[in-house]
Order: sequence, then structure tokens, then C-alpha cells
Amino acid sequence: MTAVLAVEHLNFGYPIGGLISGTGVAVKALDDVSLSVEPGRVLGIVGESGSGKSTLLRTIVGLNRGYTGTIRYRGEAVDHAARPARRAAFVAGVQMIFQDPGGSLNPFKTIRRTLSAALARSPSPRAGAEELEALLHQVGMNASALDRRPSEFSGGQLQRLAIARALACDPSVLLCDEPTSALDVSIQAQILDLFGRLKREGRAFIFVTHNLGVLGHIADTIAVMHRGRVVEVGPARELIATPQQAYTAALIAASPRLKHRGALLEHARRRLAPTPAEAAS
Amino acid sequence: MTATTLPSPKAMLRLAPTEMLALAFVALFVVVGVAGPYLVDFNPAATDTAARLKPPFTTLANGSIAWLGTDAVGRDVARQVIYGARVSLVVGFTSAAVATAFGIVIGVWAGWAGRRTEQFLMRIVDIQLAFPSILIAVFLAAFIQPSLLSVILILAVTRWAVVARVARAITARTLAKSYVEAAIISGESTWRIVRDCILPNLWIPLLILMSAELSLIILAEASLGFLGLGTPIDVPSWGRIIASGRNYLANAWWIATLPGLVIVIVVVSIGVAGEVLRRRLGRGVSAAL
Ligand SMILES: Nc1ncnc2c1ncn2[C@@H]1O[C@H](COP(=O)(O)OP(=O)(O)OP(=O)(O)O)[C@@H](O)[C@H]1O
Ligand SMILES: [Mg+2]
Repeated sequence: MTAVLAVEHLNFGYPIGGLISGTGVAVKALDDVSLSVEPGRVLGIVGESGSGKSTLLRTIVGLNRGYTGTIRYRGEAVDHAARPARRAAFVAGVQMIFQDPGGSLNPFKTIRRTLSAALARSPSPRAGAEELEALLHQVGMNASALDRRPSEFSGGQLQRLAIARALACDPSVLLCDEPTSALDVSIQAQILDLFGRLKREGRAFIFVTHNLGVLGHIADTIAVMHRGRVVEVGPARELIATPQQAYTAALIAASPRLKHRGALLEHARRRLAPTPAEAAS
Repeated sequence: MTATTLPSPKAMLRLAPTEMLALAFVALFVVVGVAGPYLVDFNPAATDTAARLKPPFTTLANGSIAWLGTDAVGRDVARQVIYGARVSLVVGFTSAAVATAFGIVIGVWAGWAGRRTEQFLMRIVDIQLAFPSILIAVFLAAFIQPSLLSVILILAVTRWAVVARVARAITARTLAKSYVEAAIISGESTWRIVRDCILPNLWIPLLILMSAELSLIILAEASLGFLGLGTPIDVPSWGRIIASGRNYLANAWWIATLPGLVIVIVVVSIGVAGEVLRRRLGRGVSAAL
């Protein structure tokens, strides 16, 4: 299967402010990173804090300028310096979901306005009441959310609404930066189940997390990052069971709660498992 | 979540007596400033030597009572104060509005652009803030033909930098929020992001800041008037009234003192009103000021 999103030899450094900005040396945050993800697959990315996971996602979506290397969407190189109209396919096709549910929706707008604006930006703009409701149903919420503002929702609900906004333009790739780490375990399980459903619809994910336990459940492939480099890539279960790199082994060993957390999640999921009626439909 | 929602109207109306009094004074100042010239007939050019230097509460020949006394050419001080309120009001509000608008543009621009643009703009702000603003006002006023407009602009020039600094700080903080990044990622235009994501964060802090600016500007306008650098002579301002009473402090204290007292009351009232605003609306934003 061909990759829907791929990065090739991506390099990026944050400029360090010298006396006059721009004169300082750059901190290398991405060092020759090459990765790809196929439709319906989840690429998990783990690594210690500061290893460059967020930087990778932010560079892919164009929040970090001045990178070298190639970002390909459906085989075509993306030019983030181009005018928005020229990268419309990428903008609609690749959506990001952030770590902090509280900050990812505009606090001044009602959910209706946020979602309508997102729908209006989609390649086939339709923003009627039906579309809004369908969007909310996809993330397990209903129309009563529409006329409220973000401050009136819980963290888990906000993350669902953020996912709804991302889904408005029917993306084929979702980039998730620790999407569940601000949520408690049972809410995590619900959100992960939602991701599982979106994955079965054929959407690809790049899923960044500290939590190897979460990745073991959802990821097909895992890439391990260390100091801006990808040190190991492999099928998820194999990589966790038999890590090739000492760093990976250390990372797994350093998650003593891995099994425990995984068990908690598994337990929560079983409680949430679809009823036979739902499963049949 | 941050306090972006307004408290209930009931909570906003619960005020201490002194706060009520302050708000009443501010309201009175606005009413008098707007309607003053229609309430009293006052001709700045008219003189009446028979009525000169009369103390407060004197009944004049024409039957009217000079509540605040009369000045050296026999004009009623109370009428001058009422007439002059318009200048203070217009200059105060317009200057504060111009300063705020300009400060927002510069501050948001700096915060948005970052890097060198930001450093350049903020250095200008720093330099300007290093000078006492009245010094800048006097310096500019000495070179520019006095008119209502020039006074407004001069005072706005002295106050925009504070606004720019606050606007930049809030913009930079807001830009790091995920909802702004989501808007950038989805290719929204800069103007729409500024309007929908950044400006709403500015209103409440800047409203509070503007109330502080307003009293400073009213004081500065009076100072300019006192120095003879303010509005033209035919536009009576509070500063000018005080200046005209300067030479009569020994035998007619009321000419300078009572208008001075009015300025104090107005400035203190605006300060208290600003404090009310800050407490009612400013939970969570005062750190930005
Ligand atoms: N805005 C920035 N300016 C300068 N350096 C930065 C910036 N953001 C990140 N860095 C640096 O880049 C490196 C990678 O950071 P990044 O945020 O990508 O790590 P991460 O893997 O996401 O870590 P975490 O798990 O803590 O989120 C770190 O050394 C960090 O200090
Ligand atoms: Mg991160």
C-alpha cells in the first residue's frame, strides 16, 4: 500500500535567540527523520521528553518554518510557503489534534460557529444543521452542544469536539499530539475507541505519546525518537516485545506502569465494549 | 479555563457606596461634558469688571449666584468649569481611544510577527517609556500649532506605548494556544485569526487599562493647559482656568483651587471606576497589566 503521508530526510532546528535574534546557533530538533504512514494505519511515536515528537508533527503541518527535507501528501511534495489555495488538499487532508483539550477550541465562539467555520473550509462546503449534527454524532455527542461555549464542557467532551472539528473536512490523516494524556483513564479509553473507529474508516494516524501502553493497543508501527533522530522503527508488538536498540529497551523498562496502565485501559475498554446490537449494525 | 465569561449582571451591580459615588461622578462628568455648553450660557470673551474676584456663593448684579466665585475679569468660575469639562472629556476619551487603537495595532503586530520586527517595535516602546510622558507632551506641544486636534494627538503619542506592551504580551500568549495554531494550520487568513482569536482576548484588559489612561490623559491635558501649551486660548480648559488663577492665589484662592478640586474628584472617580471594572471583569487578566 502506498503511503498517504510521508516525510523524507526532515531536518529542523529551533533558532536560539542571540543578542540579536537569528544570530544564535540552532538547536537541532529533527535530525534526518524519514517516516511514512498508510491509510487505515497508526504510526505511533514514542520518545522521552524533548526528543522532538511534537516538533515533528508541528513541522509536518507547517507551524515550523525553515525545515529541510520533503513532506509528501499522497505522493506530492507539500510546499508550506505556498499560498493556502495551493495547498488546500493538504490542509483539508491532514488535521491535528492537540494535547490540551481546554485550549484547542476558541473560547469566544460557540461550538456551532467553530464547527460551521470548519465545515465551510472543507473541500465540499456544506454547513447545514444536518451536517453539524452528523459531525457531533461521529464523536458521540449531540446537537445540544451546539449553542454552548468551550468553558461549559469537560476535558473529554472538549477533546471530542476538537476531534469533530478535525473531522469536518473529512481528513485522511490525523496527527495526534498526546491527545489523551490530559484525560483520566476511562475517558482515555473512550477517545481511543473513537480513534479505533476512525482508523477502521481508513484514516491514517500519527500518534505521539509518552505512554507505550496506549501505543501497544492502537499502533501498528512504532517509531522511537531520541534527540531528534528516529532510532528504531518496527511493528508495534514486536518492538515492545523485542526491542533492538538499548534506548528502546530502556524506554520500555522505564515504564514500570506500562503493564498496569495497559491493564487499566483494557478493563475500561471491556466495560465500554459495544453491545451486541451495536456490533451487529 | 480562563475567565472569559462575564459575571452575572447582578454581581456586577453590587457596589460599595464609595464606588457608587465614583460612578455617579464619572456619569456627571460625561453628562456635563456632553451637555455643558447647552446647560449654561458662557462667553469666554465677555468681561465684567464690576464682578471681578468675587468669592464663592456671591450673588452677582444680574441675580445669578457665582457658586465657585469669579475670576480676574469677572467671569463665573463654575460656568468655566462646566464649559471646560467638554475639552477634558473630548480630549480624554479621544486621546485614550487613539492611543489604545494605535497601541493595539503595534502590539498585535509585534506579537504576531515575532523575531526582529517584535524586537524593533518593542525597543521603540521601551525607549518611549523611559521618558516621563509629560516631558514628551511638553516637547511636542512646543513645536506644534496648538489646536484641539494637536493636543489629542500629542497626548495619544505619550500613552500608546503602555497599550502596545500589554497588547504584545497578550498576543504572544494567545498565539501559543492550540486554537490559534489550529486556525493557522487550517489556512485561515491572518486578519481573521487576529479578529476571531486574538482581539477578543484584548478587550477586557485594555478596557481596564484605558480607564487608567483616561485619568492620566485628563491630568496631562490640564498640565498642558496650565503651561499654556494646550488648547487654543478661546477654548477654555481646566488647566487654563487654574493657570489664570495662579497670580491671584493670595487674594482669590478659589480661581485655581476649586477647578483643581474638580480635576481631583474626576480623576479619583475614574480611578475608582477603573478599579470596579478590574474587579468585576478582570479576574485572571490583571496579571497581564
Ligand atoms: N519553541 C521552541 N523554541 C526552542 N526550542 C524548542 C521549542 N520547542 C521545542 N524546543 C526544543 O526542541 C526539542 C524537541 O522538543 P519537542 O517539543 O519536539 O519534544 P517532545 O518530544 O514533544 O517532548 P514532550 O514529550 O515533552 O512533549 C527540545 O530540546 C526542546 O527544548
Ligand atoms: Mg511534545
